[in-house]
Amino acid sequence: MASHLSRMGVPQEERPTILEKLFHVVQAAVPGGHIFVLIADVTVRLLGSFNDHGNIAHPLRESSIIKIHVNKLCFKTYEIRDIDYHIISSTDTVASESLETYRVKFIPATRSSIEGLQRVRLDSLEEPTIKQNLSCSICMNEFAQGGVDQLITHLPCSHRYHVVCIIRWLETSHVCPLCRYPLPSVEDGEPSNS
Amino acid sequence: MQASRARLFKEYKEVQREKVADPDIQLVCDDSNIFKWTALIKGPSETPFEGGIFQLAFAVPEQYPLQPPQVRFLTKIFHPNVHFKTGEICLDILKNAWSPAWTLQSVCRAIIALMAHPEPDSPLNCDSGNLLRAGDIKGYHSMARMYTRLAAMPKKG
Ligand SMILES: [Zn+2]
Ligand SMILES: [Zn+2]
Repeated sequence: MASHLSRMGVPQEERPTILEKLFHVVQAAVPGGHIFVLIADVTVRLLGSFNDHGNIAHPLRESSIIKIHVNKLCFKTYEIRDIDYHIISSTDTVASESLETYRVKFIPATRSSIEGLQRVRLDSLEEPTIKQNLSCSICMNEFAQGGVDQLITHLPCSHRYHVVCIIRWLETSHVCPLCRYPLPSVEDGEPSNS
Repeated sequence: MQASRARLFKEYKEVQREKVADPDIQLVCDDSNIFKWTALIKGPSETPFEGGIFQLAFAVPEQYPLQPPQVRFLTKIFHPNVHFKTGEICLDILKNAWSPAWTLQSVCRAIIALMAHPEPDSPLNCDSGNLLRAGDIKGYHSMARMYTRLAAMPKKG
């Protein structure tokens, strides 16, 4: 094992620590099973030379794999390139900071397609329609539970929603929440303010 | 804000009712903040995550359900579509394919499905994605299994 570490260019003084860690893992591992060793602390300029996947389109992204056979235990050493780790640690804080402000950018429906929606009062709908489509998938409230004067609409795909609910959604995104049927979107070329 | 609260309260009641129906998901709302939830999900069977219990953290935005909840793994998991350090999940329904018809409960189901069917072509964990893309199913399985044992299973002794 020590010779493999030396071949990998691991500095002499780092080796005992790594071996100690390895020993720890080996003790806890199931006998005869595979042991995977992730040497994450090691700097890794050496890795390129061990790369098995040089022909892959993004050779830089491939981690190299060295198979080391020690008696009957099969060690596979996965080395993670230092570059990857630097990237991870530097974006880490950014990721958690931007978490609060992160918003998905959807493509809204056009103003005219929203205004063109048919609006009907609940009590003017035929009973079976309400029974078939029990609740509005946006607010999750059952149509039957609301007042008879609540306004309901259906999209061209015939999915029904509360008017207030679907307008809020279509102003966000132009697809039907249930089947993704697309309404004309502001990116289709039609002006958003007609 | 009001709409999101009402909707989350609706989901809360739904979860209480469905609890028995879905034994693989335990979704809990924070005592003091309805916008913070955690979930415990069972690793799907016949995957390297079988037998593991994985914790997810939900941060629900005020615009919910017009905007998706932000979900991440709190339990370490070796999976191509989960960031190994932050637990961030790459899943289309949490991004552009979001729809308000999804619920926190159904998002959990989608994450369980993702655990069983990784997408190595959009990896957040390159090492994991590379193993699968290189066809090293055994290597992927062993690594994922190792982390399931280490992080998602009760410690022995
Ligand atoms: Zn509604
Ligand atoms: Zn539809």
